[in-house]
Amino acid sequence: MKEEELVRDGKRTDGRRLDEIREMEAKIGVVKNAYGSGLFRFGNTIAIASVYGPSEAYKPFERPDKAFLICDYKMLPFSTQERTKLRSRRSEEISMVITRAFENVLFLEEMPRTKIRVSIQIINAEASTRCAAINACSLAFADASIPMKDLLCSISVGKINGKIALDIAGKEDSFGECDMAIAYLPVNDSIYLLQADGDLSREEFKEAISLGINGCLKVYEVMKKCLIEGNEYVGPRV
Amino acid sequence: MVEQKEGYKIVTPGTLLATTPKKGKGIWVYERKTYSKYYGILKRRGELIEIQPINMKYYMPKRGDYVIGIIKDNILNFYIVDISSPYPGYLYYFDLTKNAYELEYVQRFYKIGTVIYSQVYQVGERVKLTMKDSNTKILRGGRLIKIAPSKIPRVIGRNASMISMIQKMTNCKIAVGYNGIIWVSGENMDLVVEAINKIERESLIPGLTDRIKEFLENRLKEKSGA
Repeated sequence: MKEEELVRDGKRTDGRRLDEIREMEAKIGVVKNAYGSGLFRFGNTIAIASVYGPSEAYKPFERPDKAFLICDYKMLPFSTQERTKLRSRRSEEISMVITRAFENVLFLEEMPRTKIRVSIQIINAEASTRCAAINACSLAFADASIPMKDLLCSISVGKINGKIALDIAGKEDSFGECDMAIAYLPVNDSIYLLQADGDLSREEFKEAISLGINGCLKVYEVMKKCLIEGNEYVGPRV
Repeated sequence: MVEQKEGYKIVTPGTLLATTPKKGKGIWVYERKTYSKYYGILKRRGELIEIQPINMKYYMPKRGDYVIGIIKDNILNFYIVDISSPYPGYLYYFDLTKNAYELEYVQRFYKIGTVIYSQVYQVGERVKLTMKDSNTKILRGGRLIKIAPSKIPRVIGRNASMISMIQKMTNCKIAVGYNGIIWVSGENMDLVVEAINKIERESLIPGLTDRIKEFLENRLKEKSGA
């Protein structure tokens, strides 16, 4: 595909504007056996996260000052058009960056000598899987009543045909010039994850960050609405 | 933020609760502002702010709590008790009874698999349990139910109104542990299990005690009619 085809008359191949996000959906309590679980969907990208713990830690996982957090990101073999391996270098890397991001958001020091295990599964992938995984994780931690600073929200920003665009999807991921994932915590106005490939100038980078933060705030609203209005524990409104 | 008729608010982690530093449970202070730490229900008692988590499935031991546990192991001079918490309970031989001369006799009743209703008396490096309190006992027979520990206050009710009502209507013995384990024994055990599951499901809908009373009355009428 030629680069010119990605943006035409200010609109992208799927008809969105440059600062528009795909349809979003958030749910909690999707995995009944877990302590807490969450689902997050960006268009066709669906991530499910389930939290197990805090539970008794074995010696290698025991820390005297705080809980041991293990995030396990898995892209299921049927999630992409070509079957993928369940374990790969990429999934190991994403598991690690998600763990590092959440270690700073959760109050792990309140639960010393315990272990919290998070299983993240991507059941359908069409770009921005790590962003969907982080959002699903935030919902799952909130549902499991793990003490946390705020809901960590994440979105991807990219460069297509020399223009900065929000929420990279499908072909834009493969043929775009840059792809950058941002995780943002609104309460202290900080960025907890920033990963990019491709080239950006200083001005483009600033523009991408401000566009990404605005996108994260939209994601935050969706997650908050899901937790307050759409949960089954509260039951029907009286 | 949705405000309900009963006067409680649901808050998410990171919700701004006050622009000054406050004291209470389930909150954290950042730059002299108070924020929520949990996804739960906001309760204000004067200057204190409390966030009660909606769906807390794990139990953090607290001094003075009554818990129901199962003896898992017997090592040296203590028993290791599973209290369905990240931290196992330790029951030392000298905490089994008040009277030291009874100790050898009492030890015969504690075996692996015994269910005990005990009290937490120390939370430190180890969670220590005691059987010296007069309310503690060994539970024989009956059935164990596990629910989320955050729903236990609703099962007990205000001044134990809910639990005493269920006991009176079903003619069952019930022991409630703060760790989310409930022991039931008697004729209508199935009915009690159903009622407790109903409480867990509908704990946030107002008028719970009346609904449970109606539910039990209907079910007992059906049973006697059949």
